[in-house]
Amino acid sequence: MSDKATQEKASVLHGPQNAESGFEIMGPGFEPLGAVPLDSAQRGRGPYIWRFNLFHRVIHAFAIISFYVLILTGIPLRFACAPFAGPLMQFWGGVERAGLIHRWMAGFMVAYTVVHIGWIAAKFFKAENKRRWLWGSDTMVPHPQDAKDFVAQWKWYFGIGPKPAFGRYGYLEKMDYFGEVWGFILIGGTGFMLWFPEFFSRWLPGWTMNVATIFHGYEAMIAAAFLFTIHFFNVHLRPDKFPLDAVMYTGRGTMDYMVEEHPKMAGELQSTSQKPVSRTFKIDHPAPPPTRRSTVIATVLGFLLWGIGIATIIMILWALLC
Amino acid sequence: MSPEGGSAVASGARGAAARYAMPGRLLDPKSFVLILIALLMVLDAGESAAQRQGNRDADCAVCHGELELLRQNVRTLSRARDLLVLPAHIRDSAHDGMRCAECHTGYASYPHPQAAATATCGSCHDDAQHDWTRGQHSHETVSGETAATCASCHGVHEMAPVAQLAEGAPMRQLNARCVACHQADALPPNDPHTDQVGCWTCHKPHDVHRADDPAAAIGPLQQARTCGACHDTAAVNWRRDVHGATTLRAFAEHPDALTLPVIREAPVCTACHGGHGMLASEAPEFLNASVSMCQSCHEDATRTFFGSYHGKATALGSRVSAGCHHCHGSHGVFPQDDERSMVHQANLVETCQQCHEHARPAFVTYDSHPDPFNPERNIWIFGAFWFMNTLLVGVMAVFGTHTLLWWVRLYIDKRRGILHGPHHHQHHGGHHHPSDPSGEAEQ
Repeated sequence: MSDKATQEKASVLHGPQNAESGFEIMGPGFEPLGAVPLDSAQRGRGPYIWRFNLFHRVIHAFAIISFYVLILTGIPLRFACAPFAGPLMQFWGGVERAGLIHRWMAGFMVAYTVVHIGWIAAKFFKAENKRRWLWGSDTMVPHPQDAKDFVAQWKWYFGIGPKPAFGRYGYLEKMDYFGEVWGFILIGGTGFMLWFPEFFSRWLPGWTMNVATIFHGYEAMIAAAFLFTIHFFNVHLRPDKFPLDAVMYTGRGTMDYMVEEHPKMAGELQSTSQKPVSRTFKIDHPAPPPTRRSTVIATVLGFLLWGIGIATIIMILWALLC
Repeated sequence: MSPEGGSAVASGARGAAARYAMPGRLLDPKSFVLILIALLMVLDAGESAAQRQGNRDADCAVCHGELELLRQNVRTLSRARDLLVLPAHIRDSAHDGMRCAECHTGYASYPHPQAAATATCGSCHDDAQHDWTRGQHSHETVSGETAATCASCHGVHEMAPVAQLAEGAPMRQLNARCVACHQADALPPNDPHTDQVGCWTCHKPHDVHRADDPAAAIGPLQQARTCGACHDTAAVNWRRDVHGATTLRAFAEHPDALTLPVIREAPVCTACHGGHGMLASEAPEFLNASVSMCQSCHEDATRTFFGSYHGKATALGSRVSAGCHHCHGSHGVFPQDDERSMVHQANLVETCQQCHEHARPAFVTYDSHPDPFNPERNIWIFGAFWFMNTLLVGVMAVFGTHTLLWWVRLYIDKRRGILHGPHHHQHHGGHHHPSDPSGEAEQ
């Protein structure tokens, strides 16, 4: 790397308020990134902008916990023939114990999903600007622009168009979210069928349990494969974000990060960045920088979780051999 | 005096003692005194008479009860120990109360003749001797000697009475003697038969044969009888079911069946339960192990079983999941179209209800052996399997490409020096990414 480039990096590093969290890191296929923060949401110039409130983050943490436990209790049963199945079951304390944990986690997932839906409903009915809620640039509701963005993204790959400008939630976030909705309905529904087969066979023939087994196992595999490769890449492992993005843990990112990832939202925020800093989440308001402690926790957890995720992908590929 | 003479005197004395012991014939005082005098005279004759006749245990004990004395007359200490016979050795043994000379017939005189004859065990135990001569132990030689004689298993003076051999320490001691030669065949501790029965319970005591010998008690044809001696219900049920009936028919149709490979693999007791090291049906590992046993013949059914929840949970060591025998029965296995079969249409609800209490007729249409590759078995299972595979491959193909191209795109941008990223962008300000209000305008 040239001296000039090093100086550029140094100026980036010492410019914003997060220089202390720098590490020597490397992008895959790229030269050293230099001493920039591991958390890509802390890179670039401030101020920090609130992105996710506590409720978002807690629900996402619940989703992580339940999903990881569900996948790690389910995967040894799904691939019972694989060499890792026995030891993993032993880890949980046997098939019956693993099954019990799996069901408890399913119950937990249903519980927080109900709370989440209730929260969304309340939020919608209380929203002053329902139009913004449904059609604004920060909506979670899918709309035709997402399809256009999806096409634009492919065009950008081939250099025949600009990179699409996403709002607060681009098609990637919406896809992750509604992918989970679809997965929740399919895996949850078939899961309850398999949990209470005698009850469900009042209305359904017994062979639907066979079909449910296939749907349950495969949809879980799709979910795991998608989250641990596609979602991980999009969110954490992309060379321009590598090695992780902790915005879902700290709830905030720098203005530069917002401009890069969510340009439409950032455009709106240009005016709001003049507003007073809010210590707790406040939409369209700047945030204080995350503490060093929460950055360290986010980094450790981030590495741990994507480590387990990658290990799970390896397990699935390994299991496909048997 | 010849040994035969000594023997005759001995049996005469025994006859007299028996007469005097008979109840109802009380001795009058005169006879008693006369006998006492005669007895004292004999005793008075002392050592010399005993040496001549050699027919009393006390005479034998003079030498064979004294290790010191024996040691002076034989070459080695171990030989002297072999020759030492103390009253404790014979007490409580099978031959307690018998005199030395009854077995050691040729040793009445001293010094003992070089080629003295010893009475064979068979002279009393002729049935055992007969069986033994037919068995492998008498036919085979090990280092030039008969593989196993009476003494090899029963020991010599301290041998236990047969009645005691059925259980406890004498049974375990005798088993240990078998294991002394058959070391590899010792029953492992988890075998339910370990320390519960003697080796001879299954292998017969004297008419012992190799497992592959048609005459062996554990041969395929004899197993139902041998094992059935204790496990009678299982044996009776097996004779009627598809495994037993097939085996017995094959034996009936082929007199030389034992030479046919198919018969060696006949579904007899050990084919499913195994031999030494078999698991008790209550053992936690039994469930999984029993499936592997069925697998050795029913490969296809086992493969599809392992595709079901029951199979997977069983394979992972579940103790409550269903194995083959839960649904098909263990000693009452019949083909599915047989009305006696547990998996016959008419019996399925009851069979499933063993575990699934509230199973109904609709419930039992569950396919316990699903084969997603076979559309004729169940088109919905086949369809669901292929739909989900297509979905999996499709999603991963589309978004895998999406991801891969993204990486390539960023790599190209990097090479051109326009890599996206907040730590770069301010220095490449004005490049195409829409951070400015023009992005807003696109909407």
